[in-house]
Amino acid sequence: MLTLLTNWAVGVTGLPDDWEQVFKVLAVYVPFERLPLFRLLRFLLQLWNEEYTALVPVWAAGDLSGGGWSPDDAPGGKRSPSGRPVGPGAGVGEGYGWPSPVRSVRGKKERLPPQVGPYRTTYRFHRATATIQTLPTEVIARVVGYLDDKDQRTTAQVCRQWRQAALPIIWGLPLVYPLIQYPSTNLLLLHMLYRWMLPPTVLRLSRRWLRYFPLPGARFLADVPVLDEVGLLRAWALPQYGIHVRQVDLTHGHQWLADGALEAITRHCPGLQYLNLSGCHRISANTLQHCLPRLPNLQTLLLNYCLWVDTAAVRAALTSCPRLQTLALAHVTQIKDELWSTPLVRYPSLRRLKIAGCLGLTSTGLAQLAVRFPELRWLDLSHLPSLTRHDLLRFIRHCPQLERISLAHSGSRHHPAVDQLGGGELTGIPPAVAALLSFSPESVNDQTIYELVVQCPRLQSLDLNYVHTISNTAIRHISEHCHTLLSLSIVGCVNVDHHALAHLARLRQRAGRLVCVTLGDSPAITEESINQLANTPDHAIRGWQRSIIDEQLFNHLASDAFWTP
Amino acid sequence: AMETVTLKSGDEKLFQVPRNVASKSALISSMLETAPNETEPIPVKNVQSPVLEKIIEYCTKHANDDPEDDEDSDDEMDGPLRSTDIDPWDLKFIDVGMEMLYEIIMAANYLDIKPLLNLGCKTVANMIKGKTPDEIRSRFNIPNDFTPEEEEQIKKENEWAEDR
Repeated sequence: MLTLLTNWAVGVTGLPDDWEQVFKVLAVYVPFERLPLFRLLRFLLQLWNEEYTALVPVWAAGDLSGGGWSPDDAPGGKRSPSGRPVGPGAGVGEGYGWPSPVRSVRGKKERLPPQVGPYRTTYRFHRATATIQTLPTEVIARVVGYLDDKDQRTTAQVCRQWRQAALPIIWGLPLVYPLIQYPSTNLLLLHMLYRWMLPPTVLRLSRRWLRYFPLPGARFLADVPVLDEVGLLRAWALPQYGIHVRQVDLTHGHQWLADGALEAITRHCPGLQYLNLSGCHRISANTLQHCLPRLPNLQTLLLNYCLWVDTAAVRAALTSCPRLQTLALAHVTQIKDELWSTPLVRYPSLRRLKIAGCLGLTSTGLAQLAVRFPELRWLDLSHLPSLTRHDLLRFIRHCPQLERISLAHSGSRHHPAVDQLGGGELTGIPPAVAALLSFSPESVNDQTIYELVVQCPRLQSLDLNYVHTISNTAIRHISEHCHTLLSLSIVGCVNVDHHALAHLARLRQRAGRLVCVTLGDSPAITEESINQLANTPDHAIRGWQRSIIDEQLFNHLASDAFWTP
Repeated sequence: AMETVTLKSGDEKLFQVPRNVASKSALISSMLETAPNETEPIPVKNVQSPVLEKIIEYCTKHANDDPEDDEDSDDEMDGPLRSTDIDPWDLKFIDVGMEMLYEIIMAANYLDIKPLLNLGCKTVANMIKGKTPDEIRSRFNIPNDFTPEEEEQIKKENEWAEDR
């Protein structure tokens, strides 16, 4: 029945490649929310038969006989055997959801197999010949499970995939690997997971089950199971392993991650280099402030959407972490100008700064910021409706090394956020004048772009999405002066038309470095004009697509590694 | 007469097998459950005919095993102590080339045949035993994809493990 429905849905949408569409159609008729979890996964597997990609958590697959998944069937419950914790952490198991590593079966003691956590399974049957690397991680984990302690440690040193399989077993942890680390992860799959699987899972989970919740973006060697304050210390055996942890990514830990967890992490992971607390709204600024001095090696601190972060916390981060290179404060509205009114201290280690949407900052604050970070490479000033061209040029004067600048949604009075905050006040010009001009006369304009490209000899990436005040002239300036440019984004620039594309084509011809131009959401650049250009004998522009023209290079460009000096 | 089902391998070959044999695969078994009167061949696209032949051989041999035993072999692998403990028939069955071994494991994983999957994994585990990481890499032809930095870190971790 499901197969029939799927075929029908594929027919209806006419887009057999676009599974998301197919699924939307299907979802109208199939009560996915009510399907038992394993049936849902089974169905997904069938659905992806063609692509050989499916997510089959082991705990779900192992419970085919039952009527769906319940916490009791999951790792640590009565049915499935549990891990065999190795090391000092082993003892804490009893009474904390870790069943004894040895249990009595038919009167005799038997060692139990290591727990195998849910993995993302990839069936790669397209390959002509099978090698051991075509085996999914969950299978490798099974193999590792048959080895003794010493051999298990050996397998963890063979290659990344094996390590990923072996570590949880060695540590006796039912780790869940992040789904997002695979670039090929099917969008629909993620959509599915977040829409249907995770929310009910979370609702049913008691605190201890939170550990099984996958963390997006957790990194190699720092694969963090989900932690609450207690679980952090006990289950993860942080005192034993924390010393090795370099990266902790707690994005979206907002529901459960509180001060205690941050305390524990900073106390036990002194070598931390990367800390992502984006969206964790239960932490207090005070805690952050007194925890940060424990992390002298911290290089990256991401606090996007942390509404509790205030001026003092940011100052503490900058002063107590001398190696800080990346600081992201997107949409942290508590940061005000007075942060920077302290005596002038320069932070030359900082390379990347993101203050997108920091609506508490005005020209005064921005001017102070510009002086303090002379070595900035990457600057994100997007979603700052009050940004003037003077602010921007000040940054450029003080930070000559800038390689990547984002101005998306900046400088426009008509940004919805401006209206929310009382409109004209932010721009500092008389409301009557502002009303006459649809944009502030101080906005970034073509001349600003000219000065920008002339003064930033190393500019590689420029994001001008929805900067309505620029026109073809700005693009011409870019094409004439910015020979280092790799990526340009001009989505929603209504005053930029197909002539701009010709300019960019010439830039590509001349410098050959431009690999990515992102267009769209603009009536001035039509599909025809792109096609027309694409069909000209001009090699440079041939093959350009509506958005990203060289995805691989673009990904490289967007990757963290690229921006790390 | 015994009920049969038809399986269609990836290269379009048809295999007529008794229903209880096919049901060793949890995947096929659940497919049969959802459509019990289906007479169309069941496509097993991910499995090529030589592999499917092997798998049917295994399933036929083990068709009358107690499903409880399957459960056992899944849930109570008994850890390292008995990982060499392979039934003689199975041992002979799995004595194939490496490529075939991987194919069988992948097919068993895809078709969800727990005992066969365990058999394959045990076989691989036996090959790993007592080897160094380098020996394992060359035995299985795995490239070392750690960065020097990561290797350093792994080395540190192992020092910790040895200290213990």
